[in-house]
Amino acid sequence: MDPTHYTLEIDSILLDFGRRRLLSDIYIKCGQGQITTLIGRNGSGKSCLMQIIMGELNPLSKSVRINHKSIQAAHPAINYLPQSHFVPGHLRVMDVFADHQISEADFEADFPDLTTIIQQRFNKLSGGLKRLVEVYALIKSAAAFSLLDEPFTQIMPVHMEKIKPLIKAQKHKGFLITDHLYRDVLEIADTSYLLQNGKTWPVKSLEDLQSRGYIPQL
Amino acid sequence: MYKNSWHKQIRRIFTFYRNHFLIGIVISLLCLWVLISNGLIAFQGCFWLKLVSYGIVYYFINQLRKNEYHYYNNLGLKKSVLWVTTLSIDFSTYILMIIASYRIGWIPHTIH
Repeated sequence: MDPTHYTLEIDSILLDFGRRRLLSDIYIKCGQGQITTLIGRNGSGKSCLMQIIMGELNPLSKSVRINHKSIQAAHPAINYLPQSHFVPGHLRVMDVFADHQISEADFEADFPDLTTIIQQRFNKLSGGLKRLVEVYALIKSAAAFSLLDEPFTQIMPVHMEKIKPLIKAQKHKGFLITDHLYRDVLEIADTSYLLQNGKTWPVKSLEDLQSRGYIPQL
Repeated sequence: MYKNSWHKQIRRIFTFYRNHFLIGIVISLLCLWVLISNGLIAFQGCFWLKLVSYGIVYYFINQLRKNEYHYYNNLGLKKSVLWVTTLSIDFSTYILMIIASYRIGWIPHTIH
């Protein structure tokens, strides 16, 4: 195996909330250069699963492995976009890019309509622009894997259409993405799973989502 | 993966330190004023005040800014590293202020 190529695997997870078993039969495999998406209803455990991978939530049991080696806590090869804004508000956008070793010129080339925000402080941006900066920073970061929890929330469609090819273009890293915008995530996914009743089900097409009741019958 | 040089990590730690730098300095100056007014006999009380203030600051930052931990974690800085480093800096500064004030003679040996 190429020593610089990472594979992330997650299984054997048991997570209870009170008497309710939230996660029980999970298997997800994600390699560098692959986009894996996780679709599921609200409260199905998508975010919990990401927190388990990051070591922030301790289930009854878990097996999270990178190249077959078990990891227990946050791993430097993985970074994580939570649902809520996480960048310290007083930082300027240029500081955020510098921290993630991202060129401002690249951002200006990708989003020519947003060149003025680079000098602005994060807490002065609108919700949509905050999300865009956070997503961009993690997409372009050098980590081997990025876990993106609802990356498209609040982002306007024209920017979303620019982000999707950027994600596809990152051949050096793997993505695990959850979002309710299932058409958008299925469009860029190499592998998709539906998280339902604590289990992951492979998704090949919209029909799989219909048959499992995630989307209405057309 | 990131090549995180030590000076960049220190700069990020100081970015986090901004969250509680001001309150730390205010409590340190308050303690110093108490020590100058009452002498070293007040040291124990000031020590506990400082310790309790750390607990309160830790609680409020965990409540109000807990999402920011993800930012630092993504950059290779765990929550424990952030707190141990910044509280060590704050407490060292506090002790150095007391030593300097004592040497200068601002803090009396006995009670007024």
